[in-house]
Amino acid sequence: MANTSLLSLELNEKIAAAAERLQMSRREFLQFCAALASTLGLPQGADAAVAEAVATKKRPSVIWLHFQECTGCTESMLRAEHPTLEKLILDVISLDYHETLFAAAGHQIEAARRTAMKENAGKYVLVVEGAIPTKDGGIYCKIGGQTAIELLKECAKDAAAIIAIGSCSSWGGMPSTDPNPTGAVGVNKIITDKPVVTIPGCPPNPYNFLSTVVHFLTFGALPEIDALGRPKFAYSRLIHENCERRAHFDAGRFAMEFGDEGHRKGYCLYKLGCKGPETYANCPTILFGDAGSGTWPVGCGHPCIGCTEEGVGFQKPIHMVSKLKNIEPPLQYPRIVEEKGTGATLGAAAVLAAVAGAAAGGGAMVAKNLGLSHKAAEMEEAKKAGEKEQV
Amino acid sequence: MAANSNAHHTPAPVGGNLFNTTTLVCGVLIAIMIAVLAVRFVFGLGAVTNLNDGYPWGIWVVVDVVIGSAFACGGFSVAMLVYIFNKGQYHPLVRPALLASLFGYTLAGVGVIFDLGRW
Amino acid sequence: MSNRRNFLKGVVAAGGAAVAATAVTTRAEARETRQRPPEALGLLYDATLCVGCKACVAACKQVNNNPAEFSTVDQLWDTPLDTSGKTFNLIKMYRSGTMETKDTEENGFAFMKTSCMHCADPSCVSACPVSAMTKDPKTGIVEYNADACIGCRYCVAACPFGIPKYQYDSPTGKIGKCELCRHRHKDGLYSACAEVCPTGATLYGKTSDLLVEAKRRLALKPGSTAVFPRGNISGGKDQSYENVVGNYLQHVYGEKEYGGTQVLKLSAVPFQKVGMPNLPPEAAAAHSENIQHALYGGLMMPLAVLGAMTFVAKRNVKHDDADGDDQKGEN
Repeated sequence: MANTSLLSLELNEKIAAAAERLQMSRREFLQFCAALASTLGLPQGADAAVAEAVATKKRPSVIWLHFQECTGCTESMLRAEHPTLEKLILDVISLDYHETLFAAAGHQIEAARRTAMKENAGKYVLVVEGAIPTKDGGIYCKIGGQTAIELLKECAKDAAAIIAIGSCSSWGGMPSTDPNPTGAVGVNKIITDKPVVTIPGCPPNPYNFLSTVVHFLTFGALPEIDALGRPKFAYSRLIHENCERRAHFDAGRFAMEFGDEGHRKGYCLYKLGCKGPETYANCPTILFGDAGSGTWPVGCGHPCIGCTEEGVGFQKPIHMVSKLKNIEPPLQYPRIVEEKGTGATLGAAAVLAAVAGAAAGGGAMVAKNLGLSHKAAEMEEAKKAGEKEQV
Repeated sequence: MAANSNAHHTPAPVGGNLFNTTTLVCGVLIAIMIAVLAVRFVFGLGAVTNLNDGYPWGIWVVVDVVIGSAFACGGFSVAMLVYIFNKGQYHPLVRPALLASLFGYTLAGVGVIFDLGRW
Repeated sequence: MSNRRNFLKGVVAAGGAAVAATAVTTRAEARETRQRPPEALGLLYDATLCVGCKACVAACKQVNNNPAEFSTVDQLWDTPLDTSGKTFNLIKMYRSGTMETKDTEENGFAFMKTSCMHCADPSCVSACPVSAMTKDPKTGIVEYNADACIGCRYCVAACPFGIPKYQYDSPTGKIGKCELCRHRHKDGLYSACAEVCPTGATLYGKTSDLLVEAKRRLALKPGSTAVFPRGNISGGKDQSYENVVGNYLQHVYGEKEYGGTQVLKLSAVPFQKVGMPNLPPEAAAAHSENIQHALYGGLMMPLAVLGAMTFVAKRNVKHDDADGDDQKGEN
């Protein structure tokens, strides 16, 4: 990432060539790269590095496996609107195996996969979509005679990076819902010797996936991930934290049922079972899919179902209220005992004691003088009487 | 000499200048008091007494109730006991004791008006 | 204003009556700790359900027309540190160590609502010298009448929960405390804190119903799923929902404390640690009134003291004609 100035790339031939290849104007291409860099939370200047990498680096070979899934993640990718993301999927990366998008079928496609794996051994990116059945030897999902487990292990062996896209491959997702008849699990339960980046969501936002791939392309490494393998740039915040309805939650304004006054006014959906407070995802900021402004479940008036979160999505009933996750309880909450004011300080007590002492002393002196003055007055009178007598 | 030792001393004017050290010092104290009370009647008790919900009563209550009424009660008790036990030799104490009681209860009564929060 | 006048009239009348009746009245009976009226209204606060959203704090401020109070430098949010003359309801937080898990005594945290408990035998009502604090005989709500109040702050000092608070920033400050939103009852509304509570952690209703509900919760298995009501348990729309049962202490706070309070509390952290004092079943009000009535009942003790003093005075009277020679002799 030598170049850190996006402006200097304006006249770069390679950038122009890449833009043409992607059927975008040069400006659109640079804007797209800047958007990816900001989604990743990268610092200023990284957008230029991303643009250079996308324009100049060899497209990484990608093998995309499908197991127990609905192809919704692929659909979500293809339906991305701006820029035409299917171009990017096909041109930014070299998609060498994808069951849905490939025209070829049967032995042809399996042969293509093996060829790509051999040619790019140790360099290709493995993307997994769908859960892996483990029950009864994994017989509930077979492709080309191989079970999902065998296929996954075979492809993962020489992969440079493994990305699990969608909730199914991340932690089991919908197929693992009780009673989980096929014993469906996520990729990281099968592949334990390599790091697996998970992009949960049903489907996840295409930008989260693409940003992860471009990060790999630009820096040669996968982005920073949390304990569950989720990229931190996308999954480090609760939906609740950035939710557009958060102010209503804080003010205690809740929709009580679908279509009631509060619901029409856009109040918080927590009481309807919104799982935002226990679901980590960046939906409030980059929205759901790539369909334009305001289009994400909570924005449309439906509570979040927690699709990215294991144990919440497809597990907890939608009407059940969520458990608020507090990483650290807010410190501005009042403690049980808040000291109010202070008693008399030592200094104040000393001043008071001094005043009291002075008053007592003064009183004593006054009392003493009272007697004296009485005597003095008598003496004075006696004196006067004597003088009169003398006169 | 006077025939009766219990008899009161003949009243006489104190005399002297009205503006002496004592009255000037008291005048300054009274001016401070008026300023404090003005603040109290504009901004409330908290502004001048440092009272709060942790300490709902403070030095004002000490002055009103504890010092004022104790002072007054002591005076009345002394006066009452002199009469009840009919000890004539202590009768000169009665007048200053009652005067102290008057001051005490006036101090407590007037003081508590400023310390009470509503009327 | 009429109330104050009535009060003063009452004082005069009572004084006259007391003087007139001293000879015939007998000593007041020792009174028992009062119990909740049968139709008593109250709240049930379940700390394990509370998520600390403070919606109740905001709603309470709104319906009582109270301004925001700040404890932070930026003064952006309503952040009172304790209930005050302008904050009648507050969610406080218990903290221990790393504050990792909710409702855990060690290295955990817990929330606790701080508002009037509406005691069956309230100390503030007993302490109030002018009957500005009263307890409604039917609903049992401890009510405050600002027109009768003289601002002496006896109630502030008397309350074991530290609830009545005085407005120190006003020349004629009032006492502020929760009155269960009684001003909203005539519109068919109930306590705003229970109305907005998203999890039913604050539940409104008749205390008898709330007590039954609290006992039901204590009998549930911790960690299992159960149905919890929200809003108003004694009528009103059913807003119940499913949630996980908390790890309750087997104690309904307010069932017996001080003869019972109308606001009940459930918690997973010991009540003393979340600011609820350990109180005996006998109310302090009953205790102090018994002592006071024993001393002043029917004015018997003052009359006895007066009689004794009169006797002593009589005995010490010396008549001039009988044995007053010593004085004359001295002269």
